[in-house]
Amino acid sequence: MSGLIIFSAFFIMMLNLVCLYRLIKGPIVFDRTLAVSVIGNNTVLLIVLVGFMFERIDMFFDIAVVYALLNFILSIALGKYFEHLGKRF
Amino acid sequence: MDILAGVFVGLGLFFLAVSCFGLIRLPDFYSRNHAAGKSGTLAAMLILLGLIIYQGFDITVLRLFIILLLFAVASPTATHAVARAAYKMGLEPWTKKNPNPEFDDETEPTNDEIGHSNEDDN
Repeated sequence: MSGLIIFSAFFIMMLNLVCLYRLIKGPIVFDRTLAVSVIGNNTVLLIVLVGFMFERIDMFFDIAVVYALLNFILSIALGKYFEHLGKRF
Repeated sequence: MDILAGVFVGLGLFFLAVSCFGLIRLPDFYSRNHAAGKSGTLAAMLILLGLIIYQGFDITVLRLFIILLLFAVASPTATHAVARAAYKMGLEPWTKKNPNPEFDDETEPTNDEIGHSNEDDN
């Protein structure tokens, strides 16, 4: 099972590298925002898996909750900002 | 119990891969948003459920359950906020008639479409 956790962490890191393509080459700014959101979600899962790996579940879960909240607030704030800008880019 | 946890984590990893490759391969912002929102949320919840089953049901599982509920609420809300902002800014969805609605740089650019900032303030 520990091997599965290590494999999952490695797999999520590889998927983050895949999502980095959309972050760099996204045609418009919303694609980049979406890529940041997806990478943040993957990173929360990665932090939880690292907590299982190091047997320090209490500490890493608090970090994961804070990271998830920051990721959520980032997406909401960028959405409100671009909605406030209106049709200008 | 470990086998059940492994099945849940494996399903979660599969849906996570579907989400990320949908984010790469789909042609349009709205379809990418669809892939990232639904499949990514399902993947995160499946992986956390597998880890809850793996850990056993003690008091530390409560924190994992809090993260699971946070994912279930926050991730669709975030993608919905971004999609709503894009719709309010007038981003056209992808169709077969208009297969490239967001880059108009090589064809003749019109002012009222989104995605090219070559004439006004940037």
